[in-house]
Amino acid sequence: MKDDVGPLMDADAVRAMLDLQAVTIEETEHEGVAGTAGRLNLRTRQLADAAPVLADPTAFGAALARIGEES
Amino acid sequence: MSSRERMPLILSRIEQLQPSVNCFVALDEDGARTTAEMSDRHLEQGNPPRLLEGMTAAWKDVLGTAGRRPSGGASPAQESRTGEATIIKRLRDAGALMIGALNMDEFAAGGTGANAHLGRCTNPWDPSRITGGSSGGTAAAVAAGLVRIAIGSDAGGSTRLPAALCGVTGLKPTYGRVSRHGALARSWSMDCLGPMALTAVDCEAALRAIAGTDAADPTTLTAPPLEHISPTTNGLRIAIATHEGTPLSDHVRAAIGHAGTVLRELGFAIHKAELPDITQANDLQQVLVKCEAAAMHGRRLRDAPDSIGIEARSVIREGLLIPATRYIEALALREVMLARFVDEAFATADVLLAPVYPDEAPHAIARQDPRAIENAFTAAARQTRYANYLGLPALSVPAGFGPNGMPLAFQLIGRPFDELRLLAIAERFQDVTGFHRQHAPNAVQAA
Repeated sequence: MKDDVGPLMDADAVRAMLDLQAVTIEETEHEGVAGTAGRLNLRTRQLADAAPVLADPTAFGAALARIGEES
Repeated sequence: MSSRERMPLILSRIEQLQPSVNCFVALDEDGARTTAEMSDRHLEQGNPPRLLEGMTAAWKDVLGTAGRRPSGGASPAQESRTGEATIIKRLRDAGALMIGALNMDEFAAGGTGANAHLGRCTNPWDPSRITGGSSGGTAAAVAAGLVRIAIGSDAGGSTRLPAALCGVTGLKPTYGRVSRHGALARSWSMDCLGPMALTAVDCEAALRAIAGTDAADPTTLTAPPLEHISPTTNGLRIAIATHEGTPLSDHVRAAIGHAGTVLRELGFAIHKAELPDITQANDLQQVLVKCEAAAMHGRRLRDAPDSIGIEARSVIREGLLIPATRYIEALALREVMLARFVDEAFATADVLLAPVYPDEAPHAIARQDPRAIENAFTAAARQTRYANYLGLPALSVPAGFGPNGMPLAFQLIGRPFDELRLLAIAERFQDVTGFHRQHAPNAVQAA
């Protein structure tokens, strides 16, 4: 991951980011790039865990048309 | 007067204001003259006028034309393999006079209209204030009276925000309504190209000209066709949508209240409703847009980060740290979130009326702290991002002026593919209000 980030982040920030993936959202008070990415990661994971079913991620256009028509 | 006869005046007005507004990045004088001749010839041959006959049009610099590759607001230009964009062809085929490409935030990743490479586009209402972005040049060109129709793109509010801050009408269509073929992407999964104009009537004409299926853009293939007749607005229920913790200035709150009063007097059933939680959709929008931007620009971020302005760099780099599984989950949650939002928000309403931006356009500040840039961008787009994640149509409508004389706006949000209903409501609103007809101080008579 560090290689991907290149000159944008220092080692501490990468470490903080990696740590964030294992903690709860209340604990993600890190600032900076890692903090924002960590919060978005956790928010997404929590929502996905809570969803009854995940839809086909490539079929959103069809879902838009169907939901528009049904509503 | 023929379009050929008008063209020198149109071009001279642009020449007059361009140094102060800086909304154009490429003026296509040959193309403008050619399309003026084509339009005149069409009419001289006895043909009926087309949808945009003789109307001046310009476009955010994300659209490829036959003779020019777009920059995407970047230097060197954003990599692309675009030929002529479908939307360019459709504008020209509808009789528009094709004037040129417009300034924008770098990679369409910003909300101020300040571009490190192309210079800052200024707000025609007050040059010390931002246009909003990322389609800042689009909004400024219309507000300055330099073109009648201009095309922006919107992946998180980039059409509606500058439209609101510059006092023009701006439409983000439903995802898939308008072909993006030939357009540089900000976000493949959320980009929507849409028109800005002073009036909703002109926006409707432009939408009718550019909408429709396009085999070159599969996202358009599931969209239902636009109706030939505008939908009725009789008896429509409009919910003034608020939600807890929305920081709005008193004057925006008052403008929205006034809009509700006007619409009630026009016969709409107006009520207030708590908007479903938009925080989650806003966050998921950020997962998509940041990941896609990081994928698009990752090589440049790694190899030549200094070639990217601090504004763009500050809002896309988080995408490098979000795993693919989270990105796919964010995509897969869209249908669930959309169904839930439509069930809740449209249970007692046909259309939502909501804020676009919490205040007047702020003064331009050259921020150097990436966190401050990201935080300001997030605050600015809080009211707009969720519509992109959910794919819904939304229309920014001028709604008054703040204490400093700057434009205020509201947005109408509809069910999927309900653009014409939003436009029909705005047309009735604009029939009895004059906010959209006010001239900015740094404007010429509309082209």
